[in-house]
Amino acid sequence: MSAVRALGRYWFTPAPPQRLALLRILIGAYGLALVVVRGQDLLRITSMGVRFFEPVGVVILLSDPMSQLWLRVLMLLLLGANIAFVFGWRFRVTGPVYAAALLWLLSYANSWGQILHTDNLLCMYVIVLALTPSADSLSMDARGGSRNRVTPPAAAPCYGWGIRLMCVIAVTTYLTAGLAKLRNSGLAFASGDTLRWHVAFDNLRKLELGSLASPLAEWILPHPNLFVVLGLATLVMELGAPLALVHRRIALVWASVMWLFHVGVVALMAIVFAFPLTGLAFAPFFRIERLLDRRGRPSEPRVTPASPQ
Amino acid sequence: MRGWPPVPRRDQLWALAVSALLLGVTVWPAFRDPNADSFPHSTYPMFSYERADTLSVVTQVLAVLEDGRRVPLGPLLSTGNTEVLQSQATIVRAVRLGAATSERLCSEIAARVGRSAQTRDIVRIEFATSRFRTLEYFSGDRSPVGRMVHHACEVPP
Repeated sequence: MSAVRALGRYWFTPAPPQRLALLRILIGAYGLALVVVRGQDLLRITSMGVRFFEPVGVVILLSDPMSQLWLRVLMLLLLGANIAFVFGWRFRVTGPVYAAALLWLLSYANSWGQILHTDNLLCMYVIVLALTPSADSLSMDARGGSRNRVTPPAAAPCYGWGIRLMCVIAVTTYLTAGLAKLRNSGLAFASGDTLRWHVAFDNLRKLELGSLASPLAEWILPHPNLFVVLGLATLVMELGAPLALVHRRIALVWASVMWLFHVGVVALMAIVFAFPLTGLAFAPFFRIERLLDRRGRPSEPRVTPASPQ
Repeated sequence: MRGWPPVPRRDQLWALAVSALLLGVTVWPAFRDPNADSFPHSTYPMFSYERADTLSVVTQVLAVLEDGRRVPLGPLLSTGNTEVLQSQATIVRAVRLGAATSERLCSEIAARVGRSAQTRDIVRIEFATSRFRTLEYFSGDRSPVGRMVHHACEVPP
């Protein structure tokens, strides 16, 4: 029973509502930028016709593509709900609507023959934020509700478990990627040959498809020993991801190294995982509400944080 | 539950249900076929496979210039998509679906190229599958060791 008790204490560690709220604002703002930047691409690719339609995820409910009219209506709904999500307006409705619309449209965008893996973590984080009381602070809802309240809501377990869940989802995502490498290549991945081939193939493919490739690739590919280091480091970082849940300092080291890993992926393969590169993928591990303290807002009462100890 | 921080029972059940569902979705791919990819749950298989072959095979859209040279056509002109891998998936699928689909896509590309002021020296569009020596490619040997043209169409003047 002590293990269950410890698990409960770990999962329901109190956290200040500002931390969850700030995650909602930052991640919602990123989602908004994504819709603005990629909206045109989505409209173009989804006009390809039924022959190119290969539904994935929740979109398997569809046998044919949506009409362009329906798609535009959904995109407008997404945009409206996204703005409401960021501002925390009528969040009990707009939060889940935004999460559902984002899940649907990102799944739909991935249903044309090629699944992109850059938005998986964003989508999962938005679902968590939509299903937790992340608009109890720093929101229009909180402003409306606080007219009769003297103090802001205090740190509580209900603000902690969602943050904990985001942290566990993040490490599980990287762990799964590491396990896939072991399942598909075994320990041979650590020899660097597999990684070297993939870096070469990915850059070759991009050049032969008239796109941008990494200018560093031709400099680094003649050095196989370098890929031994990179292959081994990749496995260690991904398989060691759960350690980030143990202590905040380990989380800081792990998040920094993973961020550098993504910088390396841009440098070597010109693949931009924007969500981790902005740092947002790792934000739930830290006391980001301290950013608000520096701006002169009243600091929260000291509590045991929900991010790793 | 006893010994847990004080959380109303309804909130506790909600938290546990949401956590179990989302963690289940995240962990599930690790126990599935590593080739089965989806969204937002994935095995992230893209760079995990061991590749022993020395050749890379790319199905591409080529622009044939007036002087006979062939250059790859970028994703925005070939499929109207800025995302290169999605663009490639469209090209591969068009070739697999056969002549009628390739022909239709080829005509669309030719029309797009014909309208563009920056592509006046392109006279033909080709759908091709080319094979390259993967590592030698980056030592300067960029010519394909083999190429099969699936379909071609003329760019309207």
